[in-house]
Amino acid sequence: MFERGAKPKKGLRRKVIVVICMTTLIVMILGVWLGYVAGLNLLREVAGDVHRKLSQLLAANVTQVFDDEMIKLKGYASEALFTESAAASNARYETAGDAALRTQFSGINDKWPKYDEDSAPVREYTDNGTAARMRAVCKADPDVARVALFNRFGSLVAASGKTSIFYISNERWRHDLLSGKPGKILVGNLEFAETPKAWIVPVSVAIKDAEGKEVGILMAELNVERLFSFIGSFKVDKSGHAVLVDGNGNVIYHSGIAQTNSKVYKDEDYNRLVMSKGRYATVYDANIHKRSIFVSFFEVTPQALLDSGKAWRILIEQNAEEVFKPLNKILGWMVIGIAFLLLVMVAVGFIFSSVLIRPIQTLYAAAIEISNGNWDHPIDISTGDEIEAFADAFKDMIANIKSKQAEIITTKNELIEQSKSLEEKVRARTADLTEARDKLDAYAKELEKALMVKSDFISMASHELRTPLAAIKEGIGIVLDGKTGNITDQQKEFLYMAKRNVDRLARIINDILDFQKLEYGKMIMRIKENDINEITKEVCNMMAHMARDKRLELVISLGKDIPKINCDKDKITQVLTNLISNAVRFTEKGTITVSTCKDDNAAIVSVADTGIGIKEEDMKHLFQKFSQIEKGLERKPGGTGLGLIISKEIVERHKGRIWVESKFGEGTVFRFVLPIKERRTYIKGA
Amino acid sequence: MKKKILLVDDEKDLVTAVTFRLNAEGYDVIVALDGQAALDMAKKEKPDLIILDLMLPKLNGYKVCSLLKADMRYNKIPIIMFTARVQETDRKMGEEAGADDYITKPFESSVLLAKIKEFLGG
Repeated sequence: MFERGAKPKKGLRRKVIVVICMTTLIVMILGVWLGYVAGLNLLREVAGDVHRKLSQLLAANVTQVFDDEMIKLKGYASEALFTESAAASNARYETAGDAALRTQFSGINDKWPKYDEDSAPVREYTDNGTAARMRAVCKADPDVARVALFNRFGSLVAASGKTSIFYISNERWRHDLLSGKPGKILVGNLEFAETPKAWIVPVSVAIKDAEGKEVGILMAELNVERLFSFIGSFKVDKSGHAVLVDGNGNVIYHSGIAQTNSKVYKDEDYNRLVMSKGRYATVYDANIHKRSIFVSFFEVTPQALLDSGKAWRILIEQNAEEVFKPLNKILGWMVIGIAFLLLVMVAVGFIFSSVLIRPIQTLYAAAIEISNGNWDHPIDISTGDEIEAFADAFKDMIANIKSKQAEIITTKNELIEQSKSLEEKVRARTADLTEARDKLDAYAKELEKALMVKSDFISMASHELRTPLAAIKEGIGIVLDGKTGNITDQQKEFLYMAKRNVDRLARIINDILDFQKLEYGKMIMRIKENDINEITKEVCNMMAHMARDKRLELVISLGKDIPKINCDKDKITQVLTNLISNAVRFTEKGTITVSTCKDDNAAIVSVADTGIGIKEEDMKHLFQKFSQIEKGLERKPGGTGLGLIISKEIVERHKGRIWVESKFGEGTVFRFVLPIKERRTYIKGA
Repeated sequence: MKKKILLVDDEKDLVTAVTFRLNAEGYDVIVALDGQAALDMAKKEKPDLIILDLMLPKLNGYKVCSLLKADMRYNKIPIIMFTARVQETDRKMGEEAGADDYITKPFESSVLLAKIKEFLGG
C-alpha cells in the first residue's frame, strides 16, 4: 500500500520501460549471437575458397617446376657418356664374378660415409671424365645439387661429389626403375646432403643402351630450397604464406623457416584438414606457429610423384585472428547499435507508458478526492479500453456506496434512539438492583451477627453450663430427698419443678452440642476491604475493662502505611479477642502489647504478654485439633481451649498464617499474618 | 466400718452437695480439689472408691486414673469417672486410662449411688 497521494515508487512507467528494454536486449543479444555464428561460417567459407584457389594456383606452379626438372633429367639420362660408363662397369662386374665383387665391396656401405671427400676410395669415383661431365651439369643447372650414376647391380659408377650411399640396397626400388615402364622416374624422401650442405630430394631414372636394354640408374638430387624458392615469396595479407608438405604432413619447404622435415601439424589435425570437405580448416596450436592457424590446401601432381606413390600438398596458412578480424569489427558496431537502440526503446517506453498511465492517474486522483469525502468529483475518462470500463465500474460502485451510506445513516440514527431508551431502562434497573443488594448486605450482616451470638452461646453452653447445672441439680436433689429434714408437699412440688427444668436445660445443652457438631466446618466468611488498625483499636477498647480488672497494662502500637486488607472483620475481631483474652488470663502482672506492622505483601498483628509462657513441647500442640485430649487436660482458667483452633481456621481461610513464640516463665507472643493482595472472595467452609 | 470414698472435683458447690449426699448414705468422704491432691490423698488414705472428675487443675483426671491403675498397690481401688463431656471419645479415653465406670454431669444421684453400691456392696 502507498500513502495516500504519495507517488508510487515502482511505478507503471518504470515497469513498462523495463519490460520493453529487456525484450529489446534479449532479442538483440540473440540476433547478434546468431549473426556472429552465421558470419563466422560465411567468413570461413569465403576465406577457405580464396585460400584454396591460391593453393591450387601455387600447386600448379610447383608441378610445372618439378615437371620441367624431370624433362631435364631425362635429357641427361640419354647422354652416351653415361651409358658407356655404366656398361663398362657392368662388364667389369660380370667378369670379376660374384665372389670377387663380394669380397671387394664387403661392408662398403658401412665404411663409405666415413671416407673423406678427397680420400682414394672416393676419388676413384669422383675424379674421372664422367664425374667431370656431371659437375658441368650441376653448374649449368643450380637446382640440381648432385648427380650420381649406378650400374645395373646398384653400385656406384661415378658421381659429381661424394654420395651418401655407395650401393642401392633397396632391390625393389632398383627393380621398379630397371623393369618399370620406359622413362619412369622415382622420387625419394627428403634428406639432408652433407655436400653441398642442403636439403635435397633424390629423383632417379633408368639408363638404356642402343639396344634399349637397361644398363644403370642416373640419380639427380634436387635442391628443394632453390627449386621451390618462389613459394617463399608468396604472401597473403600480413601473415598468409605457403608450405609444401608430403603425404604424411612432413614439411618439404616452408618459407622463412630453416627447419624442415618435421610434422607441420599433429597427425590428427593434418588428417582432419586432408579429409575436410571444403579443403580448409582451423588448426588450433599448430606445431610450428604455436597459435591458431586458418589453412587451405591443394595437391601437387607431377607424374613422377604419382608414379612414386607420393602425394605432396601446398598449404596456405594464415593467422586465424587475421582472417576473422572483419567479424570483430562488425561485432563492435553491433554493440554500439544495441546501445543506441536501447536508448530509443527507453524513449519509446516513456511515451508509451505516458499514454497508458494518464487515465490511471486521473482515476487515482479521483479516488483520492472521493475517499476524502468529495463524493461528486467527476471521473472523466474516455480511452475506449479496459481502463474506461474500470472507471465506469468505479462510478457504479461510488453510486452504490452513496445510496448504502444514506441507508446506514438512517439505521444509525434509529439505533442511537433505541440505545438511549435502553440506557434509560438499564439505569433504572441498576438503581433497583443496587438498592436490593444493599438491603441484602444489611440482612446478611444481621444474619451473621445472629450466627455469631449463636456460636458464642454454644461454646459457653458446651462446658461451662454443665458443672453448675450438676451442682444445682445435686443441691435440689439433696433437699428433695429429705436429707436435710422433712419438707412439705408444696415445697417438694416446687423443688421437683426446679429439678425438672434443670434436667430440661441439660437436654437442651446436649441438643445444642449435637447441632454444633452438625454445623462444624460451615463457617461463612464475609470478605470486605478493612483497615486492620481500625479493627485492632476496636478490639482493644472492648478488652480494656478485662485488663483493668486484673490490673494489667494494655499497650497498642499501630504500624504506619498499612494498606487496606480484604478480610472478614468479625472473624478477625474474634481471633484478636481470643488472643487478647488468652493473654489476660495467663498474665498475672505486667503488660499486654498489641501491635501491627507491614511486611512485604502482608500485614502482621501480634499480641505479646508477660505471663507464664508456654513450654516448648506444648507449643506444637496449641493449634492442633483435639490437642486437649491428646496432650494434657489441665484446666485452663476460664478457657474452653478451642479458641486457638478456631483462630487458626479463620486465619488460614484468609490465606494467612498464625504462630506462637514463647519462653516458659517469661511471656508469650502470638502473631498472625494476613496477605494484603488477597482478592475479594467468598469462601464457604467444606 | 464405714466405707471411705475419695471425691475429686474443683467445683466446690458440687463437692459440698455430693459430700452431703454420700455422708447421708453412710459413707466416709474425703475431698481433693485438684489432680495432684487427689493422687497424694489416694496414696495416703487408701479409699475404697474414687469418684474422679476429668477436668482438674494441675493434673487431669485421666492422668490421675492411669497413674493409680499402673501402681500395684492402688490398682484395686475402683474409679468412677465424672465429667461434663458427652462425646464418645471421652468415654473411650476413660476406659483406656482404666476407669471402672463413667457418669456424665449433670447426673441422677440414684444412678451414682447405684454404681457405688455395685462396687462396695451393702
